[in-house]
Amino acid sequence: MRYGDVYLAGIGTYLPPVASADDAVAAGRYSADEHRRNGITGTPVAAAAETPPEMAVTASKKALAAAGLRGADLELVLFGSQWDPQHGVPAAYVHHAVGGRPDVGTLEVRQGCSGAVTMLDLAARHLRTTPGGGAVLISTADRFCLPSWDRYSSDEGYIWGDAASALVVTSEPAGIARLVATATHSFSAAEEVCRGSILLDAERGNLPLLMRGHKQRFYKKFGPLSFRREFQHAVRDTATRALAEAGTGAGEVAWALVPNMGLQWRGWALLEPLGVDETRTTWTDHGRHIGHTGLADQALALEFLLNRGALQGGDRVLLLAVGIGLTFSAAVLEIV
Amino acid sequence: MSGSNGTGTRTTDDRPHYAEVRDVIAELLAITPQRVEEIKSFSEELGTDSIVMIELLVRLERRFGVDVSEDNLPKLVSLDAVYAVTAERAGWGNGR
Repeated sequence: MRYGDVYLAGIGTYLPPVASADDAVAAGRYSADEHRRNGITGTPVAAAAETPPEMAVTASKKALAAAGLRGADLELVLFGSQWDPQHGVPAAYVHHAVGGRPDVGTLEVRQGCSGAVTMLDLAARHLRTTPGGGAVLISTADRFCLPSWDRYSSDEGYIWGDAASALVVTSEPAGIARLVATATHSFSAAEEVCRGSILLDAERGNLPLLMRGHKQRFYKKFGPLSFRREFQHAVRDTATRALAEAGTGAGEVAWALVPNMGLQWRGWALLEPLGVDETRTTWTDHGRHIGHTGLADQALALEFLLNRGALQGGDRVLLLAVGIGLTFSAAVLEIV
Repeated sequence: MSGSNGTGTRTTDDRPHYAEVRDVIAELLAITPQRVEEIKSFSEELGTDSIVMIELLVRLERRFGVDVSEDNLPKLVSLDAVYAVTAERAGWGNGR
């Protein structure tokens, strides 16, 4: 979808203190072999008392302040998370905490780690059909905690970090960037990886979750190399369509903000199909130092580039996210 | 004594199907049979990831009619290790 009048007016994040991956290996919590193959140096770990909706509110208040708006200015409050077993209605919690109006809806998007980029598209569509436009809050937060999710071993190829992010999207020219285009791709044959019930797993003593086992069984059934080809095709297709809608050539992308996937995957899974190298991602100076923060990777990377002064007016930035399902979402931003 | 396989490439190891297991690996990783025998760690020396190793399981299962669980993935670091797992599942001698 191509957009002409949707803007990113504010960004806010919340990043707990980073715990060293070397320390996790020394403590026997993280495989030394996976550490070597992934190249992730550490990851943010939230305090036990913190919940994802609270973290999302911290990020949301920063984003609203950056946009110069109040909660009462919002026309929609969105929330997404990969792992939040702690609150039944997190979008309502965020709406209440930021002071949203009662005539404004709340919505939770359960699309895993592609959720933030998908919500960017949902927000833009909402603004397009809202008389007079307005502002939408996109909030995300994850806390990958035991006993259900072991950040170091539940899945491979990543270390899962705790973080929150928020974007305020408006129909008025403002702030950081203009949303130029979006695209999505569904590889729903892979949904079976996420079938099941956390309650049943708990009853059967199958916690912490072993996502890697579910995935490996699926790869075997689908055909491992076929899965890899399908994944690469999905990444390439999502990005290609978003860039085509944006009228942007692949070589014109200043930065590609992709998931902080470890080195054992990111070459074939992200860089190769996108046709970029790490000089156009934030991996080297940023991503590998925090690992995969669920839905927050792209917002944290954007904020990192903004704080570093690495973005110029007119730069086109590609956001590419991959979530359970599998779902692939892309957005093209133009820095203002 | 040395074994051989369908391609005529010989090996100094005479265990049953050793050369065949080696050649399944060689074809998958697109390296020579000799190189397969030399490698101590597929992941360290070739950067082989778990998806490729699951493909190896699938090919071994198809070739030798055995069922090899993905739980064995961490063990599959070298030809000898792959052979031991396959031989154990297939009942080839003691797998040594």
